[in-house]
Amino acid sequence: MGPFANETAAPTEELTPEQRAWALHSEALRRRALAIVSERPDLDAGDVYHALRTLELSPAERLQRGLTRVRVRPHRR
Amino acid sequence: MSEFVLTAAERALLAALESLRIRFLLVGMGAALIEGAHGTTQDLDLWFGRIDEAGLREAARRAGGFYTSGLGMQAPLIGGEGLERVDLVLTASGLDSFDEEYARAHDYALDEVRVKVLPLERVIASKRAANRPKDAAQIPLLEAALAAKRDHEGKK
Repeated sequence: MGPFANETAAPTEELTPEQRAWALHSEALRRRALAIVSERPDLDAGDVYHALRTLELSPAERLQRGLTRVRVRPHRR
Repeated sequence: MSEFVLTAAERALLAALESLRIRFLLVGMGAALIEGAHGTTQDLDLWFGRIDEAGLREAARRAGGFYTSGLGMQAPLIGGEGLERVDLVLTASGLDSFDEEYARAHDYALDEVRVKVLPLERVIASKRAANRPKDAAQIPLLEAALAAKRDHEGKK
């Protein structure tokens, strides 16, 4: 099973222009991810794809996705 | 809902540290996230080359919090409302001296506050050296992010 085997190919003619642009961009990133992994077989293509997507966000947005908002410390009541 | 990633107290603390010229580096998973990695963290790990107690006390005060040099088993900390996620890092595994790492750190503006961030490859080096189970679990995602980042920067 390939790295993106869980995806189904949607006919792009059924998409709006915005959706089609998104899908084409996604496809380009997936191709880049596969190209990277072809030289680094220790890496997961899905991980690389999501990393490429993340790099399109601002640094603050990247942090926001992963930084939990609330931290409860044992001493807090 | 706030558009800021940081709490008001965290922003005030980072701004105070810059204003007081107290050098620090954002390290750990928080740094990795800013550099483009996937994952989650509960902490903002701030590595200080040296502990300037008077400066840290003043920075914490400006953020509405406090600094203590330690309490029982507790290492030095900055605490207070909105500062719960801030952890002080005094030693960092697998890294060069603070000055060397600081010199090659990456600059970011985060919520309009300037921060120096440990580069992703150095975060990976640190996590490899620390060799804790949770670090080992994060390394594949960090390595994938580093490969993507290098490819991304190569295409700019």
